[in-house]
Amino acid sequence: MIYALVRKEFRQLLPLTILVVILFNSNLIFYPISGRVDEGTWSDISGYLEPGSQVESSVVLMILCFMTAFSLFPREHDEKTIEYLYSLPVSRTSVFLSKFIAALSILCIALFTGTFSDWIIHLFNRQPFSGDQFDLKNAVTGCFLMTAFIFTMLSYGVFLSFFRRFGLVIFGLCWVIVSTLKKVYPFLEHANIFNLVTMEYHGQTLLIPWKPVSLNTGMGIACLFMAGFLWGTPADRFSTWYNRLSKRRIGTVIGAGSLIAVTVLFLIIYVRLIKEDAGNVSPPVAYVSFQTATFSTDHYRFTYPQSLRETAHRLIGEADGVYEKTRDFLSAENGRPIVVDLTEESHEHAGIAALHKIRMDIRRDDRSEERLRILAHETSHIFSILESNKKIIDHNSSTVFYNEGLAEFLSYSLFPDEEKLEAQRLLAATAWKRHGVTFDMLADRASFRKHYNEHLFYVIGELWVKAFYDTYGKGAVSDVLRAMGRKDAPTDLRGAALWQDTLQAMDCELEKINGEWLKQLADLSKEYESEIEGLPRIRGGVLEKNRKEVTLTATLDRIAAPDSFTFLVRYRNDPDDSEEDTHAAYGEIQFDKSPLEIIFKIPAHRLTGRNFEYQFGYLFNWKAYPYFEEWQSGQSS
Amino acid sequence: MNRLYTLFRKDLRQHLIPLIVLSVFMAAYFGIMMLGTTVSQRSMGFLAAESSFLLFIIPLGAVVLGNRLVVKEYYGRTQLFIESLPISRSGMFFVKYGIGLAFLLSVFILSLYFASLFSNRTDPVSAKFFLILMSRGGIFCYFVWSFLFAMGFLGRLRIPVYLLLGFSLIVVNITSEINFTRSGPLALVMPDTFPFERYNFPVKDLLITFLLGSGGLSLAFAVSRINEGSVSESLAKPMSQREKAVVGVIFIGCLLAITLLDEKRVKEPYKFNSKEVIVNENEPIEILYIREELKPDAEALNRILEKKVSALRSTLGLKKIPPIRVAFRDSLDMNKFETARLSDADGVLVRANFRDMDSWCIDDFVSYLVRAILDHATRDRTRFAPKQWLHDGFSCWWVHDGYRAASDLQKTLLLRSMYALKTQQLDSATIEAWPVFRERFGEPIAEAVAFSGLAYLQSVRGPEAVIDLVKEAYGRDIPDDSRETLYEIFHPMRVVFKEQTGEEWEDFISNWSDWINKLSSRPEFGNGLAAIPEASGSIEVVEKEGNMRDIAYGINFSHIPDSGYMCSLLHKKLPPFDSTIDEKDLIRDEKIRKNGSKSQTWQLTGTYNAGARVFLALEYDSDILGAPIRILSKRMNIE
Repeated sequence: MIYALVRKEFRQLLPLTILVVILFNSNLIFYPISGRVDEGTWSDISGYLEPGSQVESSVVLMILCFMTAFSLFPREHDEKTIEYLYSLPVSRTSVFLSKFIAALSILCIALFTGTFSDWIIHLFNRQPFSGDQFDLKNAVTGCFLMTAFIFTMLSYGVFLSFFRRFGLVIFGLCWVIVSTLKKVYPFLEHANIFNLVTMEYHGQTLLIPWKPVSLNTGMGIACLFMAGFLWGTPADRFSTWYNRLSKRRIGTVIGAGSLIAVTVLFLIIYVRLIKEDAGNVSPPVAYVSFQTATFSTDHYRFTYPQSLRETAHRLIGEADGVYEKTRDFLSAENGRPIVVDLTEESHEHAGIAALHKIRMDIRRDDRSEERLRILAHETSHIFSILESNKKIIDHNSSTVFYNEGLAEFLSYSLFPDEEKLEAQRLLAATAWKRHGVTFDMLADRASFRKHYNEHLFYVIGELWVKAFYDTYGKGAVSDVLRAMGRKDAPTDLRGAALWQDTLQAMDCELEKINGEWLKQLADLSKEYESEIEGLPRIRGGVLEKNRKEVTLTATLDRIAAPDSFTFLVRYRNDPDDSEEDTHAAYGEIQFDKSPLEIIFKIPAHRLTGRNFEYQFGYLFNWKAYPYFEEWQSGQSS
Repeated sequence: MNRLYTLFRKDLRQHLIPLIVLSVFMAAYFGIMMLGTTVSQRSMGFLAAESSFLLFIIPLGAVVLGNRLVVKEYYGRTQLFIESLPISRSGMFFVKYGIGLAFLLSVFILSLYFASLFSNRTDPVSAKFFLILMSRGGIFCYFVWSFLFAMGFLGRLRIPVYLLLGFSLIVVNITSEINFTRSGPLALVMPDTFPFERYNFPVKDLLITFLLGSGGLSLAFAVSRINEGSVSESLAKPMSQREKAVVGVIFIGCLLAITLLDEKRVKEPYKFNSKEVIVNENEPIEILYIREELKPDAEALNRILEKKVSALRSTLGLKKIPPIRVAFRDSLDMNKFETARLSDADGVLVRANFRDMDSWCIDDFVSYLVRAILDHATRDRTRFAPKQWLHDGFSCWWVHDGYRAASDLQKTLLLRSMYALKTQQLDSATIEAWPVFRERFGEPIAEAVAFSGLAYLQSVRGPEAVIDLVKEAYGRDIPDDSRETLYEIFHPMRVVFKEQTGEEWEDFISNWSDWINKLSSRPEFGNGLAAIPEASGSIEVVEKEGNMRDIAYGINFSHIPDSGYMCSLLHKKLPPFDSTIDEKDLIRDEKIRKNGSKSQTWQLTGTYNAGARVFLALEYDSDILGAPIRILSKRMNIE
């Protein structure tokens, strides 16, 4: 009888089956017309197996799972057709399970046929390497992970469908709560279902992230039980009761009341946790008082903390001069006054800027010259936004090096600090010589971040702007902003193509600038040859791990006075993590070890996946950014 | 009016609890966003939270409201009761619309008030700024609500309409220069402008958004009125499974169409923008020489390239030669060239240091350029493994005007070839897996072997056979879809070879190997080969604490080489899925070989740890071959 029920469900879900099978097997149609099948690689065809997070494809899968789950019970119950099934000589649990099994089978069959069709397409490629990519073990593991994802999402969906469309709101709320609490309790990242489809490899072997798999499928099973209770057991009476209750005012009041209570409770917990977290951070050098005051000049509107009045006034006194110098340097017109918020407290940056607004932390440096330079730097960003008609933000991925490079170049030109500039240029030359940074990489933020530290945008970008300045003169470095913002500028260009097009519009040649830039970098490398030789390469790996922390160790490749360096490691879970999700830890020098070792300890709870990335480095001059090696990957479990 | 008021009260009473719940939700999300602003290191203030609230939460609230006020009413057919009352349809319509709009505007104004209040401490919000924020957010709410209200009347057509709209927007985005984040509704609430634009009212965007909102409202009004509302009533029924599936299939079709459209996008071609450019009048060649003193070199290069490109065009019958640009690059070694990544329409751009043409390695450059031209003309089909040897061999063969036994340079190429074939037997499987051979021996030696094949073919069948073979492989218009796969199925190497040269492929390979063996017994080659020491190498992973690993590598010569002092470890981290490695992506760890030492070992520390997959190769410089000799290469998983 159950078999007959499952068959009936299959029949009922036939249109959906056709849809998912077409979707999973779309490569059979798509691939031959969009490329040469004998060049297709398995990783390309089965895109979800590519290393890293596969959010896009899994969101589509999530929608499909919810679509399927929501079409199983609610309508049958609303239209009372479920009564016919209940009149059959089978238990309600069997009816529930037969529906669930049918839905799960349809999605899994579609997945398996999709994997099979991907393999068939891949068979056409008989070239070495790219044609040998298919691996049965990885295919099975990939299918297992996707099946776990489907099972979990379908279970969630069946449970949430009880609450009809309101279920999606509950899902959204849970998502927000978990995502928010994750900042304070990083282990909650394991509950992120997308971790199931984040493909991590050991060499060529696809790994199963057992923690997220067990946690998520466990939650899926729990949801399935609850859904079974709500939909399928004799407690179907509960469903009827719920339906009746929800239609009455008291039901809505109870529902709304509990949701409000949950929300308020969550907010209270969140605020408390944030306060606790803030309490753990070492206290800043100077506290910013709550009371603020404002001060307007011709070009700025300052807000500053009362407790830092004198410091602020020293800056404000010279601010208009900074504005005018910056404006003249960029041959720009006077803009509207800029709002400067001097109440910023950040251990991550000295200043940030957006349209007409700057936030600056004036506690950081005692020297007013440095503050003026920061103000000039941030003001330059605002002029860049205005002069480029906001295009510099739209094309941020391709222009970030120029935006930061121009601000650095301008601020050092207006407020010279030879010692600091020299330290920055030494860093630029070292990084270029060791990492071989190219213009194509510089103009592609995402791929640059995968390999290098973002501070290099400032120092190498500054040299690029200098090369541009030396090749085409002062006017060109600001004209390029206006060329970028011209009305007929194409909007879909990126990377080097965007720069070629922009420079072409102002009769400049990218090849010429790049030639000059590389020449200057080569000259600097020669000039600083002995200093570069004196900066050791630092390399290492994961030494040990326990529940609390992961210990990394690194050694230097040459003899160097360890006291002259402050060693750091930066780490992140994924190459796509933002700068905010990238953390750092200081190293401890092990003087008793030979060769010299540096030990870094990072909290294990910050590392959520099996693989993570780290980057060793050191501060060699307090005036410059630290030097970092390229990102490496390691395993935390 | 009294009736409308009664209706308003009835609707409000009916939806009061959902409205309260919704407002609590929206308030909670707003609170979370505000808290997020305080925690974030890169936040630009509390008004930034308001922008995200408008962008994400207001539309979400509008969807729920639309569902509650319109969809549910029509789906449950409860509107029939109201329609039976003596109230005009437009009255009913505007009461519902008004409730939704008033709710969204109230939520927005309250949230803006609190955001401004919090912001005031650090970023005072002036009256004008507040008005600007109000107008932006208010008009946006009007647009969102009007649009979603209209969608509510479309019942089961809502989802297909959403998809169609989404598809149309993507098509417009692909085919035009319209930037949706910089004009219209989205421009009003984008996080990079909304919290910061304090001086100007974005009049144009406000107007566009208002008109779009009014359009939505008119549509809703029209649909609710057609045939006394029977259209919206009939649309209110939920979609059947079949309809859902059809929508899904259409959706997939749209996705395919978008992908294809995206691939067909054509961009403006690139050109050199400098007065220091030589433009060839007969061939699409441009040379950027950057400095005036380089002009004579550039002119000489231009003359050579014109001749070569023109000959290539006529010989291979290439219908179209891509624009060829050569840019001077000071920082490159004289024998190193670089190809820039350009879009298809932009042609080929090669960078080279062509200072002092008289002593420059022009042949190497032309060979490199020919390869780049063929790559472009065939849309990279030249990299197809079973025929890649032709690509490697032809560029050398062509640049030297075919095989000439007396040429010293060609003798070196043959010597390289002999060295490689001494180590590895040549057969059709080896040639079919040409990238493996290339990876094992390195690019210069693999190219030399391929050249020797064409040299032998010329010696037995004449230069025409070589040209006919290459013409068939690369002189066609090669499609970049599976029609080429079909061609390949019917024209594998052995078939093409037989057709164009009259020789059996297998016989040819074996004769070619014999020819090379025979040549190597000549003293002019034999002495050179004998001078090259037998070398063996080792690459091992040294296990250290934790997951740390070192790579220990060593080299061992049968006798001390007469020349060449550099040994190199070439390495690169590989992704889990294998593909061909581009030689220029390899990291070269160079070590100076100790004089008088037959064996030596080194260690690469901490670069690759357990779990990584790497490519490793060991080379040493050989003056005899004029190229590095690769002793061994391997891809390995570090355990």
